[in-house]
Amino acid sequence: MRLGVKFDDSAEGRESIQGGLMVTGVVEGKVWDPGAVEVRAPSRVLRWIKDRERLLVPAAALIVFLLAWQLAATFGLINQLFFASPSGVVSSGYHLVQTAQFWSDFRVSAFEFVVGYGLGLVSGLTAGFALGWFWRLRFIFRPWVDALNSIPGIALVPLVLIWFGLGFSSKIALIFLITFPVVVVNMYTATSSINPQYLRVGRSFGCSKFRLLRTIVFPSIAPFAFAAARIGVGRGVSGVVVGEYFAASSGLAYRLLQYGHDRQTGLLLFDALFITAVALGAFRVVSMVEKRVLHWRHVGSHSAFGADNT
Amino acid sequence: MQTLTISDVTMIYERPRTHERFRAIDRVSMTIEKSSFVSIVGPSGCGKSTLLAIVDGLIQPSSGSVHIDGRPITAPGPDRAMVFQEASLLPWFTTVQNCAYGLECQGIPRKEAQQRAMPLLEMVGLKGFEHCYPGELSIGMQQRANVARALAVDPDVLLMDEPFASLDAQTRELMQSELLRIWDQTQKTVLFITHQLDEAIYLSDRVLVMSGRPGHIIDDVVIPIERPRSLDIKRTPEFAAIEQRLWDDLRSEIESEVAPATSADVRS
Repeated sequence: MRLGVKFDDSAEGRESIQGGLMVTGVVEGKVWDPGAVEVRAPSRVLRWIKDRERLLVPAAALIVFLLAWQLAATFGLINQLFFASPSGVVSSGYHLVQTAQFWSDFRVSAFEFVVGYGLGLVSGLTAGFALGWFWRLRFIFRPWVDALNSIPGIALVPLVLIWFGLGFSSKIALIFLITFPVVVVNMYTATSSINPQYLRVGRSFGCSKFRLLRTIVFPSIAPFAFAAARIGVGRGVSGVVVGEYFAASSGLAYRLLQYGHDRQTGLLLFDALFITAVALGAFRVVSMVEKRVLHWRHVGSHSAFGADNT
Repeated sequence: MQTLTISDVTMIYERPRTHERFRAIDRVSMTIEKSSFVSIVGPSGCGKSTLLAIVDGLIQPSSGSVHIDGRPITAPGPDRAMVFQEASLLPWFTTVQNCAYGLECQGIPRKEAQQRAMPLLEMVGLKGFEHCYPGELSIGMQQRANVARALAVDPDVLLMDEPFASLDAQTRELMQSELLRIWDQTQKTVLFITHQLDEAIYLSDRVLVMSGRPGHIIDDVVIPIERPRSLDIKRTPEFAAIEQRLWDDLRSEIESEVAPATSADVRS
């Protein structure tokens, strides 16, 4: 008798409790039917869990962590003055979201972010493309953009305050200065790495300059534009926080300083989590828009994520 | 069109940093008749692709000219279409949108262009895949779409730059016989570049052999095998004799390109 091991790659095979591994054998020339072996089918509950593994495992880990945190706080292992318990955070948050001040802070920060980020993104995309496309512009401006990109946002604060004072415009300017360079760098890199073969195709069929831009250049750099938009969100939020730390009297990030000063760690943690959640939300919005606009990237086995066509 | 004439085309390139000049193509001339299938074979880097790009109008030669029916070629035009080596379908367009691309470049409205492209997709065997993205097609299918795209603009001359180079051996053979079927149906003039001698002989009426750099024509072989040709003719003695002749032409060219290592090189 010869035994062999085979992998059953069908959907059924992979889902079976052996994970698709089949043992086959030949007994004196006859094929051994593995179906004759008795197999215990997995229970419905186990099946359900396995299907949602990806979500359930992190969720379970989170619950364990929160529980441990709560217990540590309740039994005095953590000084609640320095670190609020989950229940403290939740109750502080619950009261906070019912205040008018919280929502007016939210509006202030949101306004700063949307305007600063929007300006930074749109002008960054335009300027980045121009730098990538026109080599003379690139030679002139690239060092400046690279320098601006390397400066930490905080270093810009004193200058921005002098130029723009303490009102909205200084925050917006700061967010703009933090978001703009990273978008530009992304875009000029993208524009200078357009697949030349696609450009040849366009030229070979005699397309006009305008059509070349519309059908070959812009679709090529679109994925980079979305990547830049995502990175810009992070930078923009950072800009909001930095701006409000130094030059504000309201806004969600300003309150972080205030709660910290007053040792109200419950409010502090809640505020920080809220800001994070909003940032993640903005991130998700960008991703969702990308999935719709760039639907062609998400199809097929030979999907366009390879090195030659990022 | 009646004749494509390439006269004394020379291409001199200058290296960007050293400004050293080198001759890629040296006085290449040929006359190609309507509806003939002509292949060019030659070692790597001998300027075959450059020649094709010159015929397509993408590059201007340093000297010499290309004429179609007496009219000089200076830019890409609707009478010529290129099939590139990699499929180079635009990944953000569906198959039918890609095939209609050449027509849209000529100003034909989208709907009409796609209507014209559909039967061509069927002809190259891609029926049912019109609305897939290139990412969903295999390389062989992408190349078929590539051919359909070139055919869609109804060119007089089809310029094919090693279109089957990235395919595996079996798909390649299949595509060769498919191409002959399509050529038989459309009667286009084809200028075909390849490394594979058997491919050149199987497909063409005439095979031109190009030397290594600087590339010039060193042989012009008429293929007397009758059409229609099945893939079996590749294993006939007649076929082998022609292949031998081409190989002999190329052997010295290839050997001089791949300089044999001397014992001095090995020791250092």
